[in-house]
Amino acid sequence: MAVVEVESVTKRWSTGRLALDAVSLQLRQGEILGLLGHNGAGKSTLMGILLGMVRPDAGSVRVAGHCIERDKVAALGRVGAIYEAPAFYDYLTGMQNLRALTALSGWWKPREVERVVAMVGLSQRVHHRVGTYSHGMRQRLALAQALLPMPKCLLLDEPTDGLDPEGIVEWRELLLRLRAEHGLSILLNSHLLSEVAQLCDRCVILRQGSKVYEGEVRLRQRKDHAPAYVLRGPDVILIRQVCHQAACSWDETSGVVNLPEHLSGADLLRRLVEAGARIEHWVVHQASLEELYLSLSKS
Amino acid sequence: MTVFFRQWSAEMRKLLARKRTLMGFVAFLLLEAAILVLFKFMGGEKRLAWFIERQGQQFGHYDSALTLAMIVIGLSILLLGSIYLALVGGDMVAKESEDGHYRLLLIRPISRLRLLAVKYLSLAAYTVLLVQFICWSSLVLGLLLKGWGGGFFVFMRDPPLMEFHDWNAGLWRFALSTLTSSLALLTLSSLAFFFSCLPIKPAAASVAALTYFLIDRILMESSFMENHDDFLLSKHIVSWAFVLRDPVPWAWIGRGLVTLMAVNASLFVLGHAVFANRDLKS
Repeated sequence: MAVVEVESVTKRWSTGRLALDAVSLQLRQGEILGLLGHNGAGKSTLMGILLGMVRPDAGSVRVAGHCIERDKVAALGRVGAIYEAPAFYDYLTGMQNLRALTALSGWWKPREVERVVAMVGLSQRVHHRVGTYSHGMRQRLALAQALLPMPKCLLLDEPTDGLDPEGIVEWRELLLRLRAEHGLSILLNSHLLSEVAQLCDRCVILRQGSKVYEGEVRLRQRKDHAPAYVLRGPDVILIRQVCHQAACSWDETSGVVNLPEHLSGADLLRRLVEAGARIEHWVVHQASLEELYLSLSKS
Repeated sequence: MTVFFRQWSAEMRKLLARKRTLMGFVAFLLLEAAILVLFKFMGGEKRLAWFIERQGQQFGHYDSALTLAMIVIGLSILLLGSIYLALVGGDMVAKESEDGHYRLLLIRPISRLRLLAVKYLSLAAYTVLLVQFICWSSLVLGLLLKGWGGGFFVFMRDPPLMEFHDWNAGLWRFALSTLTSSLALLTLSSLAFFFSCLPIKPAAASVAALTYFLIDRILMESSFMENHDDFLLSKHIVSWAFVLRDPVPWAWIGRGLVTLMAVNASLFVLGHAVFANRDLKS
């Protein structure tokens, strides 16, 4: 069952620039979906539309089964979110900020708040003014507000932006724990490929407002690509010759060899052995998310 | 209703926790004290004595806390009150937008209409609170200087008003006038709130509201609008002061205040129409 359904959403800014072009996607129950794309690809615009901050020109968005434009209150009833850089009230304490924000949801349970504040590691400073917080602490407070009251779905717009490496690891562990313990569905907008690769089950890649990929993050051999293997051995010249004769491209540095359609991995391996090449490493190449992302960017 | 009250009280807490809000109250106290000092030592008291005695009344009787308070209120609201209300009203929506707070507020399950309603009610409460503070703190300062008792002399150029009341009746009229002036000044806050809903800077919203009022006031003075002054806000705003007239023209006051309430409601609806259709993205 889809928690978030986006269908053919198009948005053109008043300047005439097309921000989103008939984008569709689904966030399924209990999954972590990554939203990738370069700066200006339309990721934050899409997040804004999902949260009712930006109005689409065409298409529909349903969150928790409710249309965000017609029934925003019901749609966001069990949704927690971080949208762009959260701007808290600097003159209020962290706790006062949480109180002011959760009041908008008509909710206030001090014990639950304290539990979530402890979970995000902010218990020591929650009664201090937000103006004195570091960037990392603001991000923790942002997560705390997103988790109050405990949502069923999290929409996170570059939540680890500006965090130190330890902070990013803590975030990752926390999100995975939340998914495991509460079955949260999470849509994660990020430009950190490693983060998406480690956290997400699937990802959507946007390019200039269009969706160019939707699928698994842990990529096996892609059907639309020629088969590839990782080949390494000490006889570099010989391997290069054989690959050349077989019309394969071999990258000596990465060891990746891309086969033409008419040639199988077994055929190439046989040719190499017959030529007397010593082979130390031969595995099916598993394309990384980075490779996929870059190949889509180039195309 | 409980949810709405919770949302509204959170908004009020936010508003009153701002340093600028509290500094405003202190600024008004200082201004009131300064007006009293200037009134005493710059010949204001002598002119008042001359004026009262010209009407065949005893200055000693009407030189009271209530008389002084009304003079201080008039000057405070004229000099600083309207500017302050325009500033707070202009900040109400536009400042939140400028500071990016809507990125946190509107991702909650609350409609834009409700959020604006909560903000507008907070502004209304703040306007009433501020005007009440100006009025009653002026009276307290007057009581400190003149003590309890005496008469209540009111003189105004616009609306033309010159009344003499006893202490008890005067105190009652004074209390009533604090309420009617709060309601009348809410229109200035509403105008600033409306401009604040437009995609402009908060300072621009405040300046726009003050400019509108200034132009409205100038038109009120001009003979050009003599037969069309019903269209001017100033005409209806001054109706607050008629509670000080004897006998009280309730119908006139009611008409003025109802017109202002209708203007306030219209400004809120227009503001919402603009705000609801805005894309809120940095």
